[in-house]
Amino acid sequence: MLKDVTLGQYFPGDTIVHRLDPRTKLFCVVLYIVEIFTANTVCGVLLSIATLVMAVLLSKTTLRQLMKGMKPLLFIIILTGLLNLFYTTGDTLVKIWFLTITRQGVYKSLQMVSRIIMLICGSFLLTLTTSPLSITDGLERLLNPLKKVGLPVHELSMMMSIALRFIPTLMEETDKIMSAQKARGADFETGSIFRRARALLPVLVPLFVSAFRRADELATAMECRCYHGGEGRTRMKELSMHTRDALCLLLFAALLGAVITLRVLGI
Amino acid sequence: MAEIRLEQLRHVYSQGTPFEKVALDCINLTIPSNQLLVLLGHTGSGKSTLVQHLNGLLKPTSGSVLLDGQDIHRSKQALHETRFQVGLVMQYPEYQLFEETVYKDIAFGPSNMGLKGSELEEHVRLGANFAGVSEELFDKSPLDLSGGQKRRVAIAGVLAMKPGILILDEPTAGLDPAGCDDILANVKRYKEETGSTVILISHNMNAAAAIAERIVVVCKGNIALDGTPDEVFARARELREMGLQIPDATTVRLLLRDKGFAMPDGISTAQELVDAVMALKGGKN
Repeated sequence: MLKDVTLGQYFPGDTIVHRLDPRTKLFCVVLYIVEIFTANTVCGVLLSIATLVMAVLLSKTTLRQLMKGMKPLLFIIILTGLLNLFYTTGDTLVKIWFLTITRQGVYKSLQMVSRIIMLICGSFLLTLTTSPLSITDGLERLLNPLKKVGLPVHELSMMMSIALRFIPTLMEETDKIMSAQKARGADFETGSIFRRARALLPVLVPLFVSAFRRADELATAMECRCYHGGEGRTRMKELSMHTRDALCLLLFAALLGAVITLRVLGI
Repeated sequence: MAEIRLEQLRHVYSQGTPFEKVALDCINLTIPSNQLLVLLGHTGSGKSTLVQHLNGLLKPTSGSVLLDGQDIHRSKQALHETRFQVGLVMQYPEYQLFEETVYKDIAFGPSNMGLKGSELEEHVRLGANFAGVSEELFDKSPLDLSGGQKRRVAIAGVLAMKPGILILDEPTAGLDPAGCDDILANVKRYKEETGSTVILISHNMNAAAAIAERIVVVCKGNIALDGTPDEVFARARELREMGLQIPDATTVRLLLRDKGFAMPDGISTAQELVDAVMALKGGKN
């Protein structure tokens, strides 16, 4: 049951999008988000949509995977669309009772909805094609200059990797403990909200006990292998930029440039 | 008491994703009441998935699980009752302990059955007795016990529901030999004194050979071998090909036979081996 919850939604694959350096992908997502919010003309929006479609096709991501990421936010998307549709003043198109739909409203609501959808799909594409560990690796390298101002970049990213690494483990453990308590007749599905909250106690207590035990064991194991923080530490998988990364960055910069030009020209 | 039957059972994990995995392919198995059955299989063969279907923790992708001829998934109520009739002790059950005292923890299952007062107490004492938990431990915190004691308390928690079918998933993993023998002896005693069915998953071939009435070998989601210990261990080569060990006594028998001694088939325990060797010696004299 808990296995269906996707937190690290990474789907392994071997496409050009999967092979890009995580730093490139992080940068491109930032560039793309700027692009989405700069685009205010029809051409600009269409160009942004085209960019996304291209990336989706290249990564061989299925529509179903993208929809899965969209589902929890569907309500917000619809609400934004409706609010913009009815509350924008301008030339009236249709008037039903107290609700008026204006031409500007239709335009604005389409723009907002497409913006949100592109934003979600774009960032979702990053997590779908990049394993959580390479994202943290990329982040660590990108934030490296901040070490000079005293930010413990390595420690933060190590904490993040460990947390990410243990999400599946803890989920599995929760699943196991829930099964064990269900086997003893625990009921998590019926009763009032208080009853259900109380029913979780037999799951939470063992879960916390084991999380602390694991943390303790992990710390010992790391010390046994002489872990002493980030100073002078080398990596097994060095991140390296290739031609494709440079091309990809150039492409996204060019697209942003194009969208800015379209905005200035107002087409 | 209770007969459990699996029909065309199939289970696929993460269906429709790149992580899809067929855990059980097509399992047909009938377990009559009061049988002591040992499930053997390599890691990842589907044993644990199989037993989690027996009390409805997992729902089959297709096929059905019948308890006394009735589908356990026919209603929510039926499923809830099944959990008390088919007691499952999971792997490393000591991690499920959560109450403040041992007594309260053992009482968790029976009180979920709706038992109260003296009846509840009777069930707890019975479970503790069968699992070998002494009553002096009742007021202690389960977290203060040793590993072996925790394991026993966890088993007692399931036995206290007096299940007609008891399933134990590697109950002896990580225990010392004395602890293993102790738990297996207790399980056997539970079966004999209450007339229950016992299904045991084990990696310990010697123990399996010593207590099993029937052995089922699972391999890659299918039932590969099914029979009495003698029948199953007679096919030592196939077992080895499936990555399973055979009991020490059977290994010795095979070695002796390779050396030209006329050893009978069906030796799987130390006692049987001793008898056979003595008979051989007697024959020579």
